[in-house]
Amino acid sequence: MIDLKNIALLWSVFKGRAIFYLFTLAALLTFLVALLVNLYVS
Amino acid sequence: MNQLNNVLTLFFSLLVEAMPFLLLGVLFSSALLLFIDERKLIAAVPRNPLFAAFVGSLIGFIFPVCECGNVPVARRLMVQGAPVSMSIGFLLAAPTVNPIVFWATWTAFRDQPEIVFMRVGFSLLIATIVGWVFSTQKDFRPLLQPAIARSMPVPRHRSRRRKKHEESVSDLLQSGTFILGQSGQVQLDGDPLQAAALVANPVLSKPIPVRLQMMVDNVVLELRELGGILVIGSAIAAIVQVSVPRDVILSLGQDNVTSILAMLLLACVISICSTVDAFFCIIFCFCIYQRLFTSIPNFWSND
Amino acid sequence: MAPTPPRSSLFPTLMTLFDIAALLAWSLLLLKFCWTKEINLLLHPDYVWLAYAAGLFLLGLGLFKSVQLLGRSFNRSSRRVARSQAQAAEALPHFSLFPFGSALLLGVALFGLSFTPQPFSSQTALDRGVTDTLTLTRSQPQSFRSQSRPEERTLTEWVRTLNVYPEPDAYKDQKAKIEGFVIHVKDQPDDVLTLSRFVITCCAADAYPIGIPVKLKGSRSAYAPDEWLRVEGKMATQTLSGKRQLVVMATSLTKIPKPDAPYEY
Repeated sequence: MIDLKNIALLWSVFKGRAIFYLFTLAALLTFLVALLVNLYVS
Repeated sequence: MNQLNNVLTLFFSLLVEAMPFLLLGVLFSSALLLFIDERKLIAAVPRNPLFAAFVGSLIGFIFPVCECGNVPVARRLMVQGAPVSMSIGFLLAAPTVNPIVFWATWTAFRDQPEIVFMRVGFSLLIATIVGWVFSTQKDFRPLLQPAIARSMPVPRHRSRRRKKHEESVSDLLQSGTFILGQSGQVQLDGDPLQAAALVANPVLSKPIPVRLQMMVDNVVLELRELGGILVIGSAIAAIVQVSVPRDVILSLGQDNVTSILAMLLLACVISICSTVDAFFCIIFCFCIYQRLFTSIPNFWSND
Repeated sequence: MAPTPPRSSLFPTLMTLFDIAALLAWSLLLLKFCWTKEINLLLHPDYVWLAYAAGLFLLGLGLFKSVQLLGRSFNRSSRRVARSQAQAAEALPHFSLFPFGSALLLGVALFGLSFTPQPFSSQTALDRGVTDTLTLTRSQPQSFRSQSRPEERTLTEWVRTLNVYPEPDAYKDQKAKIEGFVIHVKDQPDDVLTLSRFVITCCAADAYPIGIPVKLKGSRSAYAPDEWLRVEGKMATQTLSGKRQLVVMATSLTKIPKPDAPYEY
C-alpha cells in the first residue's frame, strides 16, 4: 500500500511531513503486527 | 547502457501496469464528485473518529481501487468534507480491503486461506489505527498541499461551537448538513467559486448529460495531474530498483526481526499494485502486511 | 452574452490540445505494446487485458475530447453548449498542482512509442540473486508433480519440483532437457554455468530469476552469458559453493534463438 510510486502520488495530497508520518506509522504498525504473528501464529 | 535499458523497461512496465488502475481510481473519483450527494455522505459518517476510520477502511469494498487509484478517491473524499480519519483509513485500507484483492489473495494462497483473512483483518486494523491517530490533528489543513487545503471546509468552527454550546450529539449530527447547506456561515478561505462549488454542490442539480460531460472533463483533469505524478513516481522506483540490487536488500534480512524490515523495504522498492502483488508474494512474499508472515519462514529456508 | 476574453480562451484550448495529444499517445502506446507482443516483456499475460482495456478507453476519451474541441471551434451555433461546458468546467474544483502533467505524459508516451523493451539480461539475474529455490507459485505443486516425466519438465517445473521435495539425491540419474539463458556465476568453477530464466507474476518489476547449475565437459567460456541454450543431460548431486545441490550433467548443448516470451509464469 505504501511504496515509492505511491509516495509521489500521495504528494499530490499531503505535504512531506504528513507523508512521513503516514509512512512511519504504517511501517511501524506493520512491523509490529508481522512480528507478533511471526512469534505467536507461525 | 544495459542498465539504462533495464531502467526504461522497468519504468514502462510499472506505468503500463499502473495506468489501468489509475484510470479506474480517477473514474471512481469523478463519479463520486458528480453522482454522490456529499450531504448524505457526511450525514452517514459516524462522528467518532475511531469508528469513522473503520468505516473509511471498509469503503474499499465499494470502490475497489489499488494504491494507484486510491489517491484520487481519498482526495475527493477529503475535499467533499469527509473526516480526515475516514479518508486516511480509506487511503491505507482500500488497496487491501477490497473484493478484487480478496479474490487475488485467495487464488494465490489457495492452500492457506488464513492468509487471506490475516491480510484483510490486519490491514483493517492498521488502517483504522493510523486513521484514528491522524484524527487527533484537529486542523489538518497545514499538512495538506495548499490547493487541497483551500478547498476543504474549516473544521475549527464546529469544535468551537461544540465547546460554547455544549451541544448534544444529535446537533452535531446535523452540523454536517449545516455546513454544506448554508455557505454563508462556513469559513472557507480561498477561491470563492471553488468554495461555492464544494459547499452547495451545484453539480447535482444539473441534468445527467451535462454531468456526464463534466465527468469526462474531470477524468481528463485528474488523469493529467496524477498521470504526470505517476510518471515521476515510476521513474524513481525504476531507478532505485536498478541501482540497488535486490539481493542487497534481501541480504539485510538475516533473522527474525531484520527479515521483516527487509521485506518492508523490498515491498516499498518493488512498487507493484496491491491487486496483483499477492501472486508475487508467494514467490518470496515480499509484500507489506500479512503476506510477510508466510514469507518469513520460506525466506529463512532459502539460506 | 459576454464574449470570453481571448487571454482566457487561448490557454485552455492549448491545454486541451495537450490533453488530447497525451490521451491519444497513451492509448497508442498501450495498444502498440499489446499488438507487438512487447507487452509480454512488461506484464504477466493475465493482466494484458487490463492494459488493452485502458488503451481502448483512453482512445475513446481522446476521440470524445477532440470531437468536443472541434465542435466548439467550428460550430458557432453550439456556443450555448460550449458556454455550459465552460461553466461546468469552472464548477469543478481544480487542483492544479501539476499543470504540465499532460506535456510530461505526452513526452513519455512518444518516447515509449519509439522504445523497444528488452528482456532482462544475465547481469540483472545476478543482481536479483539467482537461486534454485522458488517457493510455491501459482500452479499448485500437485498438478504437475504426477503429470510430467522428468525429461518433459521445464526449468521452472524443475525448480518447483525441487521446492516440493528438496532432496537432490531423489532426482539422481533422471533425464533432463531444459531451456534457458546462460549465467556465469562468479564463485562457481569454470566448468559450471547456470541456466536461468526469469519468472514474472505481475510485471517486469517483480521478475525473479531462477536457475539450475549445469556441469559441462569443458570450459564455460564457450557459452557466453545471455546466450539461449537447450541442455540435455542427467541429474546429479554436486557440492557447489559449499552447498550440496542438484546439477545437470550435460550431454548435449544446443544454441537456440531467444524465445518471443522469454519469461515464465
